[in-house]
Parts: sequence; C-alpha cells; structure tokens
Amino acid sequence: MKLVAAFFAAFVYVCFTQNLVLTGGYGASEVIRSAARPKQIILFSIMIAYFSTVTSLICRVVLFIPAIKNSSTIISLAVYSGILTAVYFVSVLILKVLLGKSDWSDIEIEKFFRQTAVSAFNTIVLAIPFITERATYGVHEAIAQGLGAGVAFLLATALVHLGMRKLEENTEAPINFRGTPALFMYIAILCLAFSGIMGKSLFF
Amino acid sequence: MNNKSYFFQEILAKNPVLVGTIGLCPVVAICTTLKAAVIMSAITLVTLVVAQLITSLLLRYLPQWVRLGLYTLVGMIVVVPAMLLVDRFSPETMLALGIYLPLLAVNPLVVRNCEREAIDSTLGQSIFTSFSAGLGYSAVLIAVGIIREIIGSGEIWGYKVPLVKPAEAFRMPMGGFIVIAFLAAALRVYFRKIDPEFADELIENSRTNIKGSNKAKLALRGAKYADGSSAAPKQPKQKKVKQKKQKPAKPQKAPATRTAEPAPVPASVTAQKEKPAFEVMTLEEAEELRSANLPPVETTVQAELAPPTAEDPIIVQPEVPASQKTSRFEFVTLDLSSTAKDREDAERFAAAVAATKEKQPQRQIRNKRGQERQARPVSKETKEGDDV
Repeated sequence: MKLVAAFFAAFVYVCFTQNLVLTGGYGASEVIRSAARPKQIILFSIMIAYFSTVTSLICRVVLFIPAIKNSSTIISLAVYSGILTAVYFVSVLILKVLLGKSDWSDIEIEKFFRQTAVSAFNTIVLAIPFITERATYGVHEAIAQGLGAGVAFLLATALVHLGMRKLEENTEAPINFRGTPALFMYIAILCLAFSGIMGKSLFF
Repeated sequence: MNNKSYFFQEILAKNPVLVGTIGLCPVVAICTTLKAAVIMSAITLVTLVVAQLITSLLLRYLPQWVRLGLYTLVGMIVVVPAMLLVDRFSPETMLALGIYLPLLAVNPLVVRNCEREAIDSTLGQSIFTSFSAGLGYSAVLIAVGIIREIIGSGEIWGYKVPLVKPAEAFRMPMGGFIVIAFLAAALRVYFRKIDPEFADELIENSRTNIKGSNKAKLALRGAKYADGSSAAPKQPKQKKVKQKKQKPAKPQKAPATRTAEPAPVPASVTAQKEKPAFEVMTLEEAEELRSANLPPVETTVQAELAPPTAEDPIIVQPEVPASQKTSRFEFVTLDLSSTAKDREDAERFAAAVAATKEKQPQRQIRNKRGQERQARPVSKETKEGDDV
C-alpha cells in the first residue's frame, strides 16, 4: 500500500505540483512546437511518456551498481545518455520491423522516426533520471516520474495550445507583440500560476 | 550590404530563440546570472561547431534515424570535457547550474542546425551557419542573463546594482519567458525600422506557426520559415498535374432542362467538391477523377461552339463561390448527356458541328484560290481566260 501511495504521490507531484515544463522549463521549445500541431499532441506525449519511463526505470536499476551510484554528475551523464541512446535504437529497430509489415509508405515511416527521435532526445526525458537520482527515488517512483513527465507534457501542451487559439483571435495586441512574443507572455503567466501552486515567493 | 552587416543580420534574422523558438530550456531555466549565461553560451557554441563538423564529415553518410540517435553522443563528447573544466575552475557555478548543464547534450538547436545545414551544405557553409546560429543564441543567453540578474538579484556579475529591489520571480522560468518576449518584440521593432517588409513577414510567420497549418506555412512567400531559416523544406514531393484553366463563361445554347436536371455526380466527387480549391493533385487523385463518369468530349465542344441566338432561353446560372471557381471538378457540372433527351440533343449538336467542319475546308480552299488569284501577275491570256 505504501508503494502505491508513493507511486501516486510522485506521479501527482511531477504532473501538477511541480510541472516539469512550466516550473522547470524542461522541454519548453518542444511544448510550443507540438502545441502548434494539435493532431500530434497525444502521440508526442505518449512517446515522451514511453521514453522517459523506460529510461528512468533502466537508469534507476543501473543505480544499484555502487560504482555508478557514487560517481559524479559527469559519469552519470555518460551513463544516462548511453542508456537513452540505446533505448532509442532498440525502439526504432522494433518499430522498423513492425512498420515494415504495415501499409505505411516510406515517407510516413521516415516522418514517424523523426518524431520519435525528437521525443526521445529531449531535455524533459533526460532530466528524469537526474531528478530520480537526486531525489533518491525508488524504482516505483522512478516509473511514476517517467509517466508523470508524459502527462505533464500533455497538460502543458494542451494549455499552451488553448492559449495559442485565443491569442490568434486577439487583434488588440500591439503589432510587435503578436505571435511569438504574446505566446511567451502567456506561458510566463502559466509558469506564474504553477509557481504559485508550489508556494514560491515571487517578489522581494 | 557588406559582409560584416550581412553576418550581423544573419544572427538576428535567424535567431534560434527569438525567431525560431528553439533551445528555450537553458534560456528560461538557467540563465539567471551573467556568469551562467557566459558559460552556457561558450559550451553551446563549441557544441554546435563540433557537431556540425562531425556531421559534415561523417554523419551525413548515415541514414537519418541513425544520425538523430548519434547527436546526443556528439553533444556528450563536448559537454563532458566542458563540465570537467567548469568543475575545476568554478565549482560553485557547477553546483548552481545543477542538472541543466548536462542537459545541453540534448540541445535541440544542435540537432536542428545539423539536420538543416550540415547535410546539404559544404563544410565551410555549415561551419559559418553554425557559428552564426551559436552567436545568435549566445547573444540572447547573455542578454537574458544580464537582465534577469539585475532584476532578479539586484546584481551584475556579483556586484550590487544600486536602486534595484530584487524580484525573485525573475529568477524563475516565468521571468525568462517575460524577458525573451520583450526581446522578441524589440527585435521586431528593430527590423521594422530597417526593413518593414521583413518585420511583417516575421509576424506573419510566427502567427502561422501558432496556427500550425503547414499549408499556410508553405503558402508564405519565399523560403523563409517561422524560425527564419532559408533551408529547402524536406517534404515528400508531389507530382503535379496541371489544372485545366477556367475559360470565361460563354452563353450556352442549351435547353432549360439541362440546367434543371443536373447530371448525377458520383458521391465521392460530390464530397470532394465541397473541399477548397486545389492547385496540386496527386496521381491517385487524378486517377480517381478520371474514373468518375465524365461527359463525352463532343458534348462539351458543341456547347461551346453553338452560337447564341435571340430565341434561346436565357439561363441564369447560380453564382459560383470564389472558393469553387478553380475547383478541378468544375467541368463535371457541364455533363449534358445524362438523360436520353440530353443525349438526343447532344447528337444533334454533334451532327451540326460535323456539318460545319465539312464546310470549313471548302471555304478555306476558296479563300486560298482568291488570294492566289490576287497575287498572280496579270497576263493577257489569264485575263482573257478569267473573263471567260
């Protein structure tokens, strides 16, 4: 029961209380880019959840090796990057076999692999093992962190997408603020809201 | 414009952060001080150039899915020695940067730059573009670092700035987003002064980027994209089928029943007719169109050739919306052979056209003879003969 409670606590913490995108800034550019393509939001979030969960789990298991556990951040970076790259290549090879039998054209497969790479090599995905290590999370919490990263990404992307649609309708914004600057301001307000949930002091 | 100002414009017009909205994580998360910004800038610049070099020399020969996987390892090759250096000379900065410094290994700016520039360009060009992109990125990092350090901590490089009350919020990602929003707006103000057209294009591109409409993005003029790059789009090539140009509406000699009973159009065609106008269609679409029951050619021809008379009924055609005027399915509405009566009419018209065609050569021969006669030198015999 304790494990389940810890799992959900870690999950909720990553998703809502400490939304990695809006309070940590991880994967901010990917959020903006995927929010502009609403059809791909779900798929992209699932991919991020998959890569962050699998990488986080393997990295947590690797941390049972004392030599790696006691190593510096530099060694951790090498190990985690290596694991992430290996997860990517294994996943792509499996997908290649599966998609080879499907009706997808070569162009569609190539496009899908591009998206896979963007979702795999992302600051939000690589940050999860580091956070797990620093917070001394267990295996179940590492899985919750990975899944939570995907949901946090989905939440942030949905919020940004809704804001984009509203900003697009707004014709009263100063001309030089239309588009990207207005969007940055909107994300700043979202960040402010999530920082408020965390209870951070904002001024002075 | 000389080379120096061209390079300067390249840094601003193709700025990865302010124009391309890429690589935002380090900007909004870590650049809270000038020192951190300088370190991050140096590492990013070196990573970009090294990754570009390795990609140009080695990785370009690999398939894309392999290449994309190796960029992280390339980034790690640069970031690991950089971390060792920072740890040795400034351990407190290493602590302050936390896990954000190792995350530079997966900077999307490196991947984007290598994929867009290093694959198709020469080594010199790719180094130049990576250097300009890196400088543009560094400029933003340093500007954000300075502003956030002053407002967020009331200091600059560790020295107190008088009359500034530090606002904690500016050291959080929120402050980073606010600062880059103002910098992006300032960039537009600058471009509006030197090139108003480009400033408008920047705004239009970023608005299109928000809409997320690839079609709209492609419709934008030139090769400028939302991120300001001028690289060719890597999109699947569609085979173009030239669309039949719409002729100006001619008065048709056709009974009222023809317009009253329009030809039954296949359901698939009707469904597609509701779509907006297309300029390009794929071969599959062309085949589908061909397989639809199109009117016989003669029917269409006779409708165009028949001259109008005063007795003809005036047919008022419904107003066609602008979106459908260039539709490729437009000529389907000219199908005049759907009913038996229409077919009879069509045959009659075809016979009339055939008769007209038969007469035409005789007329042409007659006209030709007349011209020859006029051109011929007038001799006595011929004159006499002609008279006869």
